[in-house]
Amino acid sequence: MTSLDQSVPNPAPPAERTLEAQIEASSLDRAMTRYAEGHDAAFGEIFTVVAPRLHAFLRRLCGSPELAHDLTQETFLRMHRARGTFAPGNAVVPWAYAIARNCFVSHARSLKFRKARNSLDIADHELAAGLESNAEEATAARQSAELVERTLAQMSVTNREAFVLIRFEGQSVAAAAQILGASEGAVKLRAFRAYEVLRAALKSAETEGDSQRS
Amino acid sequence: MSSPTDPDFAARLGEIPDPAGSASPRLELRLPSLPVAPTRQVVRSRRFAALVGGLAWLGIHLAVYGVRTDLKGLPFTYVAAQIVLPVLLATGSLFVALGAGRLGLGLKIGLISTLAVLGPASFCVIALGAPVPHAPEPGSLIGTVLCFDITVAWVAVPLLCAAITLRGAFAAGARWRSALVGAGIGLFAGATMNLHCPAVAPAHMLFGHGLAVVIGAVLGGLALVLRARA
Repeated sequence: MTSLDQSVPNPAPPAERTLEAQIEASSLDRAMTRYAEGHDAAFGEIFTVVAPRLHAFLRRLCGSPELAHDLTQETFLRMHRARGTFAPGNAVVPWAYAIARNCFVSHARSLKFRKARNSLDIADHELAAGLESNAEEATAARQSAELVERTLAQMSVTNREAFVLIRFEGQSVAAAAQILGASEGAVKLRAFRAYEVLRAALKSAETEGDSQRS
Repeated sequence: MSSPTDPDFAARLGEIPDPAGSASPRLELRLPSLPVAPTRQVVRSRRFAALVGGLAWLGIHLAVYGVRTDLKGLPFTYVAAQIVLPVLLATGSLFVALGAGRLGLGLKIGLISTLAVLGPASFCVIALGAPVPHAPEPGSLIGTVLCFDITVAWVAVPLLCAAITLRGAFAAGARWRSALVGAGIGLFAGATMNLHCPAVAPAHMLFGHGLAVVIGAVLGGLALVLRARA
């Protein structure tokens, strides 16, 4: 395991969620149920808790904080329009992830996104090349994170979204499969493919770094 | 390529660092003003109205055109395969497509996709392969086209009702779930046509009645999904 691996904690699996988080989730689900019944005041409560999670999810999918912000707004607009279809007694977060994913996919399909993606790639490369830091470990961690971001951006959307949901959003394979509308086996395979590509990229960067130092 | 077993899986993926980190930005809602959105009660009422309206559309046409005259003389197995089974499949399809599932994101996609394909396929296979109860009438292209046109019209109106009432209903698995709704509507229309039309020739049953069922599923997967995806 590299120094980077030790510095990045693994996300807690769903079973190990704290009681506090469970209470928060349950209160959020109740707020969504109220909102679906027409209590508009509950929207603020949902937005406060869900928006940062959706932003992080979309940021990991699209690689751009600004675009993620716009997509988060669009996701909430769609959630508002579809509030009456929210199944009572269910969790709001997987539902919100599924809608956010739909926003991202429709955006990714547009020509506009492809153009933005190209300019983003150039910006990322320039950033990576210009990195300077005295703290070697921090630099290595940041470079690895950027490498992960670039590698994620280059892989297929289907592999990326499966990996992001399971690794970074802490969703189980079953929940990720529901959110993505795919079978559990397919989602697991996609996430594993993404993992193998990312691991190979990190390994190759590590080997390159070692040879430069020696 | 093989994937690891479940207990190892999350731990393995944890090797990959998170590019976004744990920092979550403070976000503000920038939407100018939220448009009026239907509440759950309104959505339920609309769906119920669409279901009643769709069934009434088929029922009224059946009452006007009349039930087939040879119905009483048909063998039970023929009626079960051509009318009862499609109605059961149609009902099941609508229940499965609209089912909330464990997370409120629908039932398992494998079940949904299988039913969306098998429902219309079974209708066509039965139309083509079921033993005919009496000697088929001489083939008439006009008769087949007429039946096809009427069945498509019977599919179109309930599908339109579904498009109006299912707006944003499917957050996940939208394409297959929409196709299944289309298949369910197609099967209802196909069964209604089988209840009306006395023709038994396999080619007529397939192209006059069955093709519209397939079209219903395809329209669901291609057109209804545009409205139904959240």
